[in-house]
Amino acid sequence: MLIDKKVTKKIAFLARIGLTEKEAEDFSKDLSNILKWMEDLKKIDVKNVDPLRNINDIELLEREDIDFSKNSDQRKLLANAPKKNGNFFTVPKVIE
Amino acid sequence: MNELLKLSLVETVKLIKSKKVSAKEIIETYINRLEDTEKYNMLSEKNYDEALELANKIDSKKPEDFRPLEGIPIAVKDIFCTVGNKTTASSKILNNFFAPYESTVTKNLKNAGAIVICKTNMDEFAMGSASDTCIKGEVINPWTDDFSKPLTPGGSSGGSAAVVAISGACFSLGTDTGGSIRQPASFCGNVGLKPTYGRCSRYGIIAFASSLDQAGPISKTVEDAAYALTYMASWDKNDSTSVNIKMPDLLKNIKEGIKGLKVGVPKEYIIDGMSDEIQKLLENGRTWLKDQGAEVIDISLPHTKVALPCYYIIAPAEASANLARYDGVKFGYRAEGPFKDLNDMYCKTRGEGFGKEVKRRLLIGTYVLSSGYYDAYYIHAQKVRRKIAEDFNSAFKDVDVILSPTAPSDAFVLGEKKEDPINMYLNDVFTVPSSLAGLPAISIPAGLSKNNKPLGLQLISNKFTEDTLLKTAFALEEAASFTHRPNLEK
Repeated sequence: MLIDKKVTKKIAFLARIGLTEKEAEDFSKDLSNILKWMEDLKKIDVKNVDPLRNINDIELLEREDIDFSKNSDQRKLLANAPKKNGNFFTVPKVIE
Repeated sequence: MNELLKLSLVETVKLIKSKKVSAKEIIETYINRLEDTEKYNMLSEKNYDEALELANKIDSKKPEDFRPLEGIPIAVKDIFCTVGNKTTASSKILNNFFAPYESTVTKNLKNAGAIVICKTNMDEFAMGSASDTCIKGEVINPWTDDFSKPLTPGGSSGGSAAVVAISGACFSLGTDTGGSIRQPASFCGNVGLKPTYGRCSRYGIIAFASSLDQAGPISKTVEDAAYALTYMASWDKNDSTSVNIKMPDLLKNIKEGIKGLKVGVPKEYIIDGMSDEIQKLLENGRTWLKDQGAEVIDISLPHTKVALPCYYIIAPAEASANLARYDGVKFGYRAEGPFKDLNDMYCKTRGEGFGKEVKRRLLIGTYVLSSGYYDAYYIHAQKVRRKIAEDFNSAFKDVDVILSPTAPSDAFVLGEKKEDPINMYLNDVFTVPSSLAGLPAISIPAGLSKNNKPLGLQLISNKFTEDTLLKTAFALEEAASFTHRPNLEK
């Protein structure tokens, strides 16, 4: 297998996705199969080919930042927060 | 079936304008239809009260003040942010999300007078080809005969395709990253149009793979698709990849015919193990286009075979970046504590909040972007993507349009491919290459399989030539004259 359980768990932590043991096992198999299936790609000669990042080759637009400092805007943004306190999002304690 | 439900979008627009039927009657008729067809599990949200209120307002207006889509009921895939309704992308992690702003596409349509009657179920975060990963359960294809073996409507825009198949809206909105409009349209007997990348703003569409995602209409007819896209598309400064190129008039020349037009059939699209009925379908497509005066020639798109693996590196890589925002802090689901630390909260929240296919793709995406693999997978795939795009560029020196099947089969039984991701990914074999190249493409219902289920043909044209695409699609639609509808009396 290209990807064993240890690697899967490592990737899952990079992606911040908690997995059960069973999931880690199943995904190791899936990922190995999928990566094996992708091997054909390596046969394509891409010497001197630029990576394609923007299909329309246009300059990306920029826009002004939106100011959300008003109280009413903040209420709107906080409305979907799973946990909040006053005008703040709350998270578990970060600093020991 | 109520006569109103048999009308196309373009016919309904005319009827509302004539005032022979009130907008209220139209909306009520469609609501009744949706209520009668709940067993197909198409809807994530009903917007009936607001729809009726808006219809009442329209009925007090003078017809000369009517906008182009005045009073037209539309169904919206639950990936478009709409103010006032939940927007969930069919995911647990967004199950209680109320978007604070409106997507540009739905805003454009509402400004043109359209009425959102419902939002539709889809594969979670648009990652799927069967609409079997929705938080609200599988969507069932209205063409199903045997409910002990329900068929998939395709995916990811399966709810939107199913709603049009049962005439639950005049047209619906889908999004297409690797085929998510075209394949469900094919499975449900509808027209599904993916415009050129950059035509419709992505602002307010929950992102999956930003370099590929495009919105488009699913409709009963080609003319309806042209009409709908006309009012969906716009140049939008809120989407940095939105393109400021004027849309050609999509309706003006749609019926002018295709005499002298050159159509290419790529030999690489005749794949190993392709069923007889799909080969026959393609053969019919060739004949129909020839009979309409087009010249049909064989072409080659040499990198077709690697398009799928290329896509399954690029799309998950972009997804893993886009979906990093679901952290259980600012919006969406958060797992129950207590947590050891912040990372514990992230891992539990995302582990519980995302479904299996989404996790699978986020893991692939994270892997191909991780240190040591970035060049070998991700950058390599972006280079292969250029080769794929160049294949099309050279083909379009010789032809105006490309013809292929939309999908390798008719609608399959739900659950059949669920545990076999690669087999599921193969559904997109004909739709992914044009997505990678950012090209406009359309699926047109063109025949029935031996199981009496719809099969679609796909047309692809060069960038920003939706007019040529739709003109050819119109000719093909006329020749195929697909008039079958699903029998719902089961």
